[in-house]
Amino acid sequence: MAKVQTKGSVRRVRSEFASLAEWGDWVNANCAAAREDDTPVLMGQTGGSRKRATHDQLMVLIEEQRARYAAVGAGVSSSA
Amino acid sequence: MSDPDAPPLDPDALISALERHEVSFVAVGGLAAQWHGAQRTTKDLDVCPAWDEENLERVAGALRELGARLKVPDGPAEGVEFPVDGAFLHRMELSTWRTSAGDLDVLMGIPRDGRWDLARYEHLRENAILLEIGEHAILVASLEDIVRSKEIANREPDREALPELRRLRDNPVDGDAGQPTDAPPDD
Repeated sequence: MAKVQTKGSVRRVRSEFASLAEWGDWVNANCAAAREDDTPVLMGQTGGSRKRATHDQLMVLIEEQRARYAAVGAGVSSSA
Repeated sequence: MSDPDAPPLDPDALISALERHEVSFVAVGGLAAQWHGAQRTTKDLDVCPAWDEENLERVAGALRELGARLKVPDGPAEGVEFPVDGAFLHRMELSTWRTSAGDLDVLMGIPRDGRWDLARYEHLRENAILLEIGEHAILVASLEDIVRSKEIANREPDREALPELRRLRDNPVDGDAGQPTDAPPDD
């Protein structure tokens, strides 16, 4: 069983599914994909600065990331 | 309409990657509601990780392992690939990722009052249930916290989901994912 940090009393529930794979099969058979714009990327922190990120804003941040890692030659990649 | 390009969900791969990278998180959103018995849900996994630098680096490590690409509005269906790290995640209150194991949303928190104050990992963990499924144990946000967040967010899919979630909240015997037991925590 994977170790999970808990605090105080926690209610344990045993799933009716025998495994995550079995549950995944159920989800894929019974659940729809999210609508494309249901969950927009949000930038900023709480306290009034929340905003839905636009394509251009995100691409600026992404290019910053790429440039930073290219500059330092870091071996970080988003590829598996 | 539903995203026609959404890949199948492989929760075993997603959860296992988060566990391998020792990410502290609470599952929220539609699939968390499904673990409470909801039938109307979507097949993406939403997680609220602890929002500290170290844990966000662990999240980034899991995302890299899963080949995650950021879903960008009006961007390519497969998402945009770039070097993701904890600092980038910290700049996003909510980021949506397309991975080799399905869609994964990373949230700083979920709404908990009318001023859009967020219930973060530490709050959610206190009310969460520990769902045991196979060899995995997953902290899942309480139905009370999920219902409250959807009432405040008040988007169309939230309004559609709320009647069922309120029914489950008010009748937990019918709605729970298994046989609940009170047990001491792991630590």
